[in-house]
Amino acid sequence: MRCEEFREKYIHDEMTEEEKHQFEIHLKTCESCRIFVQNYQKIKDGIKLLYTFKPSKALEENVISKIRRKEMVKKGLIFGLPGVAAVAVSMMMVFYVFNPNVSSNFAYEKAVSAGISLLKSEPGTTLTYAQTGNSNLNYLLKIKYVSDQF
Amino acid sequence: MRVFVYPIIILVLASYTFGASFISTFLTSYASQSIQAQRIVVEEGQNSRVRYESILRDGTNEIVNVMAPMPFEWALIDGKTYVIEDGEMRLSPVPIVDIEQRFIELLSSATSTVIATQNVIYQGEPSIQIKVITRNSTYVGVLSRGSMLLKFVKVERNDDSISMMYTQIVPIPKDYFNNVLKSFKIYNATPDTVEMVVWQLISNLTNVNVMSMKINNVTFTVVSGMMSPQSNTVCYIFKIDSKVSPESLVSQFKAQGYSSVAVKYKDVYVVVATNGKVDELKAWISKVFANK
Repeated sequence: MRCEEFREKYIHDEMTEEEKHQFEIHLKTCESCRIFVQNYQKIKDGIKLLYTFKPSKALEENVISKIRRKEMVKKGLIFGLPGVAAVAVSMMMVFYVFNPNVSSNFAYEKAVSAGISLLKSEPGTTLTYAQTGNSNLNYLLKIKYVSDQF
Repeated sequence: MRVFVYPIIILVLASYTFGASFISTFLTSYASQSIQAQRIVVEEGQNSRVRYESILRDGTNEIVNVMAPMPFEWALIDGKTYVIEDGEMRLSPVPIVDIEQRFIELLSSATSTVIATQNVIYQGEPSIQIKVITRNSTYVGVLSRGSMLLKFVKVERNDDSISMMYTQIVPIPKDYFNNVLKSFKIYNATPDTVEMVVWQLISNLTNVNVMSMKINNVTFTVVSGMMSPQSNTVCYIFKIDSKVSPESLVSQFKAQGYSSVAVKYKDVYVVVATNGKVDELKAWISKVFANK
């Protein structure tokens, strides 16, 4: 028999006693078939173990807890970081809003950047900053234009 | 020489005597006039502008409705000027000066002025021209000899002038003016510090804009414009109790390479920044807050 025929019958356990004997003799001379048989046996043992092994309670809990820990790390990477970031930002905002010094600094920067944009622009330019509006003192400009300054 | 000089002196004195009695007559007439009129005001000089106004006048009280280019209504009542908005009259933070009223004031006081009168024909009508010379200005008024209604006023100072020409004058009953005046709610509340400061700033800037900016519940009134000679300037006005440090704003402007100074005035802080020199800025601030 050729190697393939031996291996097929060996896997399916279809060899006669005579064929088994011949295959044993063949294995002594065919290294490829020897490696095949060794690997096949390992897989077969593994499968057998999978179906027949009953782990102890401690081992089971240990394995399950390890799996859970890994899953938590995965979930943490997906959902945890943005959550942590959101909490951090919220805390920073609370810090900015309720800490008068920091709050003021924030106001200064906003105010100054608005002013600088006016200083850099053409005279007569108005701010487009979201919280900027026409002042209710605009009537003073009208007075300036109608009051005869002599 | 005396032959030539004496007649001239006599003529001038005669003219002045005629003028003084006539001025008195004119002022009495002016105080009793009630008119509705249209007039054009032309400003010439550094800032040349034209505006069209509709006037309702009763004696020296008047309601002026500026129709163009920038609609605005104001009133002069018993020597006080008011801003009219939405049917309400609020005391103006600064006196609104009308050259006609100024002309009448000068005629009334006549202590430090030189007045001359002369017969002229104005728009085909026999009229009288009154010239008033003050220390730095020259006023010319032309009124109809028959109706004593003022038709034209011009004031000149250095290279600037303002001319006021009436295009239509209609006499009205006195009650009419009073009824219009009664239709307004009058508030005599004193203008607040921010208004006064903003007025001082815009009076000393060209190309001015006034804005309002709210940051962290702090309201900043922002006045931007051009400081003489040619420096962009921005001014922040905010209440002292807003807990905003003016020094921090100044230092931030300085850190960005701008000249900046903070001024405390009554209950407000004024932070000024410019791309000009700091010495010019300080001189400008001294001028703005002079006599304050």
